Amino acid sequence: MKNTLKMTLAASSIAILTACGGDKEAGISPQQFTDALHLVMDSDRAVYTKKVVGRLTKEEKVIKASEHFMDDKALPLPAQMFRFGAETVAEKTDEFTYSLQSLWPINSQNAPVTAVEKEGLQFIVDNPGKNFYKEETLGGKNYFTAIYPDVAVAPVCASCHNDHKDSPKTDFKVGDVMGGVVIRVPLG
Amino acid sequence: MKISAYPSIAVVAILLSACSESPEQVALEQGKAIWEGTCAVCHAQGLAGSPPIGNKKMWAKRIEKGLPVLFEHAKNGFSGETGLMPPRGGNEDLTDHQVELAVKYMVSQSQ
Ligand code: HEC
Ligand code: HEC
Repeated sequence: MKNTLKMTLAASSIAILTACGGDKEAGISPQQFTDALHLVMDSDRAVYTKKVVGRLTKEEKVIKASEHFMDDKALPLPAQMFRFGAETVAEKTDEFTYSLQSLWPINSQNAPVTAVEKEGLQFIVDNPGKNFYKEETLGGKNYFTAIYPDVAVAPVCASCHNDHKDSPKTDFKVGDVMGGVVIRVPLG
Repeated sequence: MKISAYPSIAVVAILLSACSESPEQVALEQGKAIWEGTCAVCHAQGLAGSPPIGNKKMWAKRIEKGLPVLFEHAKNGFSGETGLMPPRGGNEDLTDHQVELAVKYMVSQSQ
């Protein structure tokens, strides 16, 4: 929820900025737009991971985080929280879409589909610290697609994925790029 | 003629580079290479709550703690206000000295 709200705020303030600009040059570029969205997403995810999941599960030890959070009366995993936000946005608007994907996904829904997604996810694995930006044409429409790395910050990122029955990869380690955030904006 | 010219060019080149680069600069360059290999994946952009290189605003408070504290946190890991810094950035092959060079480089670019 919080994710979505902030996303919407970021998106609308960007829209206002563009609207007030008058002539075309005053608008922001697709990359500035996706970079700003990603900054909000990454910050919210870090805050949820640290101040909600980390604090309540490791410091206070009052609740667990679980993939089966409904059955287990637990907190949703950060990746699930992220996907729920993305799904809510997708219901509301066609202005942009986003998803957390991986070449080695636990949830097959998170596998890359387009050629640019596959290329970009490989690029961010091969080029640590760099993002990937490319235009692509899908169904006759042009899109700007940006892909940002998602990194294993903690040993649990790697161990939970490595041990998960549905994970196609079992040797993730801290510091690895495990996947990426894909943000897509229609052009023109 | 040609053959003998090569070594002297090489010598001149070595002398030139020796004169223009102070030990601090050499250390910074070594630190940069280590940083690019291990630390950039998070600190280039500030992923997952890490302070991005060059962001003076985010680094000022951290730099105030002093280099010895930053060295210690980079070697042993650190869970502060914003995220989780993994010990040695997850690269256990790095020596203490290499981690320190990388920290010094990142700090030099962020103040
Ligand atoms: C307790 C287990 C667990 C932990 C810890 C965990 N994940 Fe996941 N991760 C999952 C599950 C389950 C999914 C599938 C979620 C979904 O339904 O979309 C997932 C999805 C993902 C995806 C999308 C691709 C995929 O595998 O489906 C990425 C990328 C990812 N996680 C990265 C991370 C990172 C980075 C961390 C640490 C900050 C982390 N994960 C911690 C279980 C975990
Ligand atoms: C997987 C991501 C990741 C990698 C790789 C990484 N860091 Fe960090 N680093 C972080 C995060 C997150 C923080 C912020 C922790 C906090 O303050 O809560 C941080 C903070 C720091 C700090 C500040 C500590 C303080 O006391 O404020 C230093 C110094 C540092 N990292 C050095 C390094 C060096 C050197 C490397 C490479 C050898 C490296 N980091 C690699 C994520 C990473």
